[in-house]
Amino acid sequence: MRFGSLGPWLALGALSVAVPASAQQHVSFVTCPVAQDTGDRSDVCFFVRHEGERYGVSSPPDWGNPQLGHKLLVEGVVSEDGRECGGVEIEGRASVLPELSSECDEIAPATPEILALELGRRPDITEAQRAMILADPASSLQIMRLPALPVPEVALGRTETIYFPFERDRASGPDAMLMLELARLAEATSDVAISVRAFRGATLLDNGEILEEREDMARQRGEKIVGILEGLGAPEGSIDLEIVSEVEEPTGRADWQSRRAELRVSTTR
Amino acid sequence: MVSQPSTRRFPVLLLIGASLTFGVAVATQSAEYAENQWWGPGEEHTIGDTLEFTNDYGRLRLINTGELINTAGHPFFEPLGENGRACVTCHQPSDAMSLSVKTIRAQWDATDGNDPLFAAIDGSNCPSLPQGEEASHSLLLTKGLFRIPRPWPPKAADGSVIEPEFDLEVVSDPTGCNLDPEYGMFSDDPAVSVFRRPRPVANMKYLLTLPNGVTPHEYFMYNDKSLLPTDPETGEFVSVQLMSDGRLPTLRGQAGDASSTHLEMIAELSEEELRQIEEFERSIYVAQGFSNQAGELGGPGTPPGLGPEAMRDGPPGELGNNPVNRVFGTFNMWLHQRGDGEELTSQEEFQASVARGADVFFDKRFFIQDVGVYNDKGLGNPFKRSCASGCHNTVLAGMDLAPGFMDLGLNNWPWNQRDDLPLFKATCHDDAVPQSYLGRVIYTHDPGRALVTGRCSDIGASMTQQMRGLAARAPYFMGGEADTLREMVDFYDRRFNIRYSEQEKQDLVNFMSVL
Ligand code: HEC
Repeated sequence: MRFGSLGPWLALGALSVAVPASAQQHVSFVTCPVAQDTGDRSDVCFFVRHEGERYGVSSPPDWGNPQLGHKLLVEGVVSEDGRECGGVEIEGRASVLPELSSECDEIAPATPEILALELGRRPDITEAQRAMILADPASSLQIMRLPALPVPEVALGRTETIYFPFERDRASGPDAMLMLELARLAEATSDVAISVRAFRGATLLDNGEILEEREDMARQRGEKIVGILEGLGAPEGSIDLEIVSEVEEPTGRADWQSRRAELRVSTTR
Repeated sequence: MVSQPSTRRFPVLLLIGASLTFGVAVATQSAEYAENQWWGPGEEHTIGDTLEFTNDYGRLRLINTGELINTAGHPFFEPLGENGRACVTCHQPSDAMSLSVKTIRAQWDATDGNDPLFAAIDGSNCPSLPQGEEASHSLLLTKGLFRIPRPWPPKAADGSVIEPEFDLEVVSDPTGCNLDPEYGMFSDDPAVSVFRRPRPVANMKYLLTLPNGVTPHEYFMYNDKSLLPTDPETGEFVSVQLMSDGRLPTLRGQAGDASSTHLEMIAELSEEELRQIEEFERSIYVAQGFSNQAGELGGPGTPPGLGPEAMRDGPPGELGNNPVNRVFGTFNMWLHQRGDGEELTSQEEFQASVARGADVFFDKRFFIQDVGVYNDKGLGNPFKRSCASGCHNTVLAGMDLAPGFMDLGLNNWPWNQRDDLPLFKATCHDDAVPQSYLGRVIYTHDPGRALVTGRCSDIGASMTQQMRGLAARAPYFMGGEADTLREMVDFYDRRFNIRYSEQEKQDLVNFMSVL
């Protein structure tokens, strides 16, 4: 299954969310996701139906795909010409809400139109690989590894931000790599001081409702990050954790940015 | 039982020489010999380079990469505790270092239920039952299950209490043990009794190596991006592939625990004993070595992933869900051995079925849906993958390389409902993150990982197992749900509504029988 994430990992840079210009249409709503079958040998993708339009949401790699059995909080900007999962692309974040919603149970079959889009394909064996195995069957056990994830660059005194899905403390794979690099930097720095500021967020939906995260989300995120940094070698006692439990007033524009943690490694010298 | 590399070509001759110690006659492959393959605690056997043992599908081969071992005096084989058992009692070489129900039954019949295997502590449904009666040992005799009492509330490695996110009630318990005044949940030493199969103690490098090439990094649990646990002695990160619930992440910790629980040893294992046990466990590799229908497994002309030599030589901790590695390597040489119109021998026909089974295992996708602690890992629900690319992706070993636990539906209702096991009702607290697909009220036969973490979302989750030596160690799954390989395939077919054809099912069974 990890093989599947190859595409998104490589496209990492390209996928980061564009800073919304004012002309762009912001959306923020909760709905059931629909799973789209894309054929016998390709991956499922997910779309939502909203006000008569079909949308696909592009979240960053390993952010967490939508799940049937749960509602989806969609926050983002409607793309001018991007397409995703057979619908109009929403660039932003899709969060799986934790409570069960058994009514979200639709799997859309792979129609000829969908098959024609060739979604969710992954590399098949190449002719050269096939020939290699034919010539020497044992070569099928020579390990073919995925290219390693890009190692993020970190610097002393710079603030790095990690964003989270609604009411989750699970960071993505690239965020985990970032923490690893920050811990390495901290380990290699004398008189190091690490600041972790953890927030919880709120979202203003298009229908005027406000969704606020559980009270203890900021603490949960902060403590998890501190545990990870220490476990990865950040010197004991070097971390200052600030838990920001008051929520910022949501605006309906990129409110997902309120669910975050800010990490900074610096030196007191 | 020493043999040379030529074993594979002359297995019978060499085994006859070897049979001096434990009397295996392999000249015929009759199932009657199962009983004679039993290694009792304290018996003397030698383990040279290679041993073979018959099973219903052919022969299991065990190879030893370490020094020649004399089992007499070796702590894995000696009855060190109060009840006369040794580690080997439940981890038998003939049974791929696990224990089949067939062997258990034979041992009951041979000793009239008096073998230490049936010790009251965990070889019976509950120690308070009248011992010596079949009914008191029914879970062991029918499903190969040992009682595993876990502290309730859960305790961390340092003995501190973990406040669980859920309350646990006993809905029904045919064993009586969970409500027993001495052994139950309300006793002075409160424990939840669950019932589990022994897992094979071989091919260990595949279980102990941190995963290479699993994003983001080998230090993280794939699932929730928390850190992996560390070895309490070395501080190094450890894989969580050992035990169905990962409660003891190192071989030393595991051996220490097994000696006090399963062996009822009062003293602690000495440093030297621990060292010898670990060295032994790391030295042995098992896999099916000969198939009655496919012939030799491993060696020139056969698929490169078969036989224990492939396990010994293979790379541990690698991800095989790509079109080249295909987890167990290629089986193509068995697929089309004759031109059109030419008739296949029955051996070739079986080999072709195995090769088709390997393809079904690797290529046939289905909707993997509502698997707790899996579909919610970020993968999405559903996730459309095959057996291999979905979960069984560790090269040559076949467990899920990404460290993590999952609720396949074996422990929790509604997917599996058993009359013979205790049934618990777990009610999760309002502030807990619910189990992703079952919510806050869960009926379960074994809370699994949640008995270690206390988390609602972990209820019923367990760790995938390696897939080698399957022919020697039925029944399958941690609770022994599937008596046969066919029942295992049927479980998946039902659980994920795969609709394998009859041919595909048979091909899968044949494929698994040669691993
Ligand atoms: C009474 C039967 C019994 C005895 C005796 C026994 N074990 Fe086990 N063993 C089990 C069971 C059951 C499990 C699986 C437990 C679980 O998954 O929760 C297991 C699991 C293991 C595992 C983990 C294997 C894996 O792949 O996850 C190791 C290693 C192991 N045992 C070693 C030992 C050692 C060493 C001894 C002797 C000190 C020993 N066992 C004695 C029943 C036994």
